[in-house]
Amino acid sequence: MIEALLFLSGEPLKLASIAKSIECEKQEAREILDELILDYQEKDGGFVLREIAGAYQFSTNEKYSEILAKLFKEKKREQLSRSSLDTLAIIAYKQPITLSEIDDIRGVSSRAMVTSLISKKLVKPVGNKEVPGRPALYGTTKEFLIHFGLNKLTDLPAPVEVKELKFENLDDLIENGQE
Amino acid sequence: MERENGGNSFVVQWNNSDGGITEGPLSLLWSLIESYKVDIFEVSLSQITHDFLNFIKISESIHIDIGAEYALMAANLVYLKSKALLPDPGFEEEDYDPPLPPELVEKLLEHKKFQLTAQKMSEIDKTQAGVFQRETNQVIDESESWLDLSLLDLISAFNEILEKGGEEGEIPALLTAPHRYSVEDKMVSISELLVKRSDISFEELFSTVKPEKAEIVAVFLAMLELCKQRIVSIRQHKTFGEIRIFLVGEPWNATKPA
Repeated sequence: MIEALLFLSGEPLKLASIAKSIECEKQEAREILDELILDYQEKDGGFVLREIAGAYQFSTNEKYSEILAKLFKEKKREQLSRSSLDTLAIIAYKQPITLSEIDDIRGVSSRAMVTSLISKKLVKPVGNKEVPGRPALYGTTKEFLIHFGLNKLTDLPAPVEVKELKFENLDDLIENGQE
Repeated sequence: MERENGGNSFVVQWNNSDGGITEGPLSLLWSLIESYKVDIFEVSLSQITHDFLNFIKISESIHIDIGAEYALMAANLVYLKSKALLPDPGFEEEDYDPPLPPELVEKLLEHKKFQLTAQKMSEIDKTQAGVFQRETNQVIDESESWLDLSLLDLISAFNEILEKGGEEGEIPALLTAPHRYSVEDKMVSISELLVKRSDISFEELFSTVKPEKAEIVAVFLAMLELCKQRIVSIRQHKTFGEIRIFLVGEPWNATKPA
């Protein structure tokens, strides 16, 4: 039944609304959902069930991402530029963070980048830092999670730890993305 | 661009896509460090300062505008270098070649860390760009298709109504003429309308098709006030973009203290 619901729905469904629709306890619904997610994962077919930003939804299997992106060019969403990603990475891992702290890490002014990320709804102001001038603090949004197909912020890959960088192993780092 | 320097040449990329000049002074320092092919803790401060300044000189000679950040970094490097040159009681060597100071190394490592992390994220970004969801227009729960709307949307709706509005009754006249519309009356009438029907559209709040400005303003303020007191909620339909007002709390009555 849950499967049918999710199949019909174009929108991601929250656990609470699934439980409400089929009139059962959240706990019970969650167990069924977890089982479904596993089922599809094991099957490793054309599509999987996943939990993103706290809601459940069917989506195509990541392994076909490249080919599907080619086939559905007009539907494919745009990818972010390198400098947007630099800025976004800093915000994602260090939030809440002020503009000047971001500038400090990047070594260049990031105002334009942050503004464009806000207009893309990936970043939002989340408050003010209690220091003189009360600069705005920035954090990531729910859209950010959806954009990267994440359920929670903790699902982000671990940041690359750079300790002793020699030029030789820098290449390896870039190739393998050290865990 | 290549330059001979004591037998080793270095190349700085000019493209903007990765690690070019537009990426800022920290990236430039990294390009230099990588060109020396030594560990970051063994980079010579005077060497890198020298190369950095040279880079700026060359950039100027080929008319490239570089940001103030570069000048700042250059100044910093020169400062650090001069500090390192001051006699240090611990060192009596003539040709002591100071390494990069730890604070700069830390900055560089932090910068690199996020560059590499961003690279990882771009992988995810690329993958996710090719992950699609089913698209159906089956909506399970009717209320799910109503979005909370932002103040901006509300203002634009208000402006639309204002433009439709009649020309008579200019706002300055409000200051002299007695008020024919009060916010409180409108709050009562909106509440009454909502009690009869669970929701109404924004346009239906007005008594006439071409309302006067004074009335529009009164209705609008009344609506905001009702919203503030959590008596109504204003939502916009996802697909039709129409704005409707729903009753969520107890209807307003003027005698009840707000």
